[in-house]
Amino acid sequence: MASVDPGLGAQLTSYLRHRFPEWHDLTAQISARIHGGASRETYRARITYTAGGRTIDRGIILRRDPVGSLIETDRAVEFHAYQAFWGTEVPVPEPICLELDPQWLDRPFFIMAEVEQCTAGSPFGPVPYGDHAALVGRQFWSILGRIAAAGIDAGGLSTTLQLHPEPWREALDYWEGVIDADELEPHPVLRAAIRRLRRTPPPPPIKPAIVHGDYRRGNFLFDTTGQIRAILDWEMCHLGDPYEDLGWALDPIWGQMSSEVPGGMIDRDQALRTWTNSSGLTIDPQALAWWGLFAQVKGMAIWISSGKEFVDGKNKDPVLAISSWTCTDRHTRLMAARLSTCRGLPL
Amino acid sequence: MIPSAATFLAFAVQRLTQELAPALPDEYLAQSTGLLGAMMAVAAKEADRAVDDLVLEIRQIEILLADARSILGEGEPPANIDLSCLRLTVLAPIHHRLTASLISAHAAIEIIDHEHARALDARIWDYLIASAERRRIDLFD
Repeated sequence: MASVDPGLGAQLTSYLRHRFPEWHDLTAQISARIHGGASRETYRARITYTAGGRTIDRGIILRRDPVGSLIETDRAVEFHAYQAFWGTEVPVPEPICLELDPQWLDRPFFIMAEVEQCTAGSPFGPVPYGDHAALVGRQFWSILGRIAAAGIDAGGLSTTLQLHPEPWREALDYWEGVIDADELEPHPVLRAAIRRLRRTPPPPPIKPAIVHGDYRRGNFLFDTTGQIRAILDWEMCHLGDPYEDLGWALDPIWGQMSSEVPGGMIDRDQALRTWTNSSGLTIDPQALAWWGLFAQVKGMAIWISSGKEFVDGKNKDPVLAISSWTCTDRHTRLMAARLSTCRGLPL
Repeated sequence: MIPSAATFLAFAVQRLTQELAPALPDEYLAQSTGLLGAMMAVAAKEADRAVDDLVLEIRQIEILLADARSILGEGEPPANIDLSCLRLTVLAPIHHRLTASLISAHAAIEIIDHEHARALDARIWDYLIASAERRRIDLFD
């Protein structure tokens, strides 16, 4: 049994010939299905064609909607984010096309260029950067600063995304709603965290910004020299508070439960200095603490939702079950330790 | 002698993650097979400890709820829960029901500015931390 439907390559060829009639003698071959985020089926493929008298042979990535997913999001948001940042100082894969009509590949999908000779590394387990950890870290936090600095109108994203007057409330309402809908058992630490967040809301954003939504270790590609070549997985991109991405990226879950070296790259103080230099923004420790706890609530919502998808049989990818089980454990312990030590005190 | 469940699962995990997954030519299936092995490792640990954890916690939550009722003036506690059946399918719903009650009680207690309420809030947190630690999974640590 293979993980790739043998007919998918032919379907993709038909679609691309229809979509790009100027690409002559086009053929597409799926080479592998990859774990490119459990929220979409992700395939690596090669296409060959002639255009302008030249023969082109290039790698592409196909991201197709699954029947169920880790994160229920609109694929158009992710594609528009790639369009907004392609060619800027925020490296992203070249977006090629978005197709919402299910007649071609049974479900909506989009295609982007493959960023070759790179790896993403696992978000868990041993840190994958080796001797390049410091170099990767400086780029990682600097790029996040550039996203925050870009402004909500960058690349026309604000025409498809709306800025809520209270981004914290919109975000917390959304993820609490996911938890209410999907939890299979009660989570007392998580509920205590939500109550705490509602009792002590953060100030308005220091500057409304484009929020990547899942900016963390494992969601970018780097090459063998330690250069970050692409920021991936923009499917939760929205407009909001730039501290939201910062709180998420700083979460200890991405750094083997260490808050001192987030993501296993550079230490927290250096990371924040790099971000402030790049973004031109300052750090409000209290507001960032709120978004840090929010990140753990959001994480729990994602793990709970992924467990529900798996149990309901909508998506039987084992990554949903294992992430639900192990990450719920980790975030619950992190929140319990944090909340129990700040009862009646600032976060 | 037959192999214990733990022995069987440990063997299956070892074969899946160290022999079968690396031998699969399909990248996605190889990774999925490795994840299945990880799931079995977690399940083996959970199966060994689950009943013990649930019984212990059901008794602890009953005590916390009784103390919360006395602070909140909510009358007499219900009779002790019958734990004569130790099947997980019986224990888990009891644990879930009591935990839901604990969430409600905690929300009411934590906003009361009174010595007894603060003391109970601290005990609830002690319970929650111990419960979280009891469920610790060391798969990636």
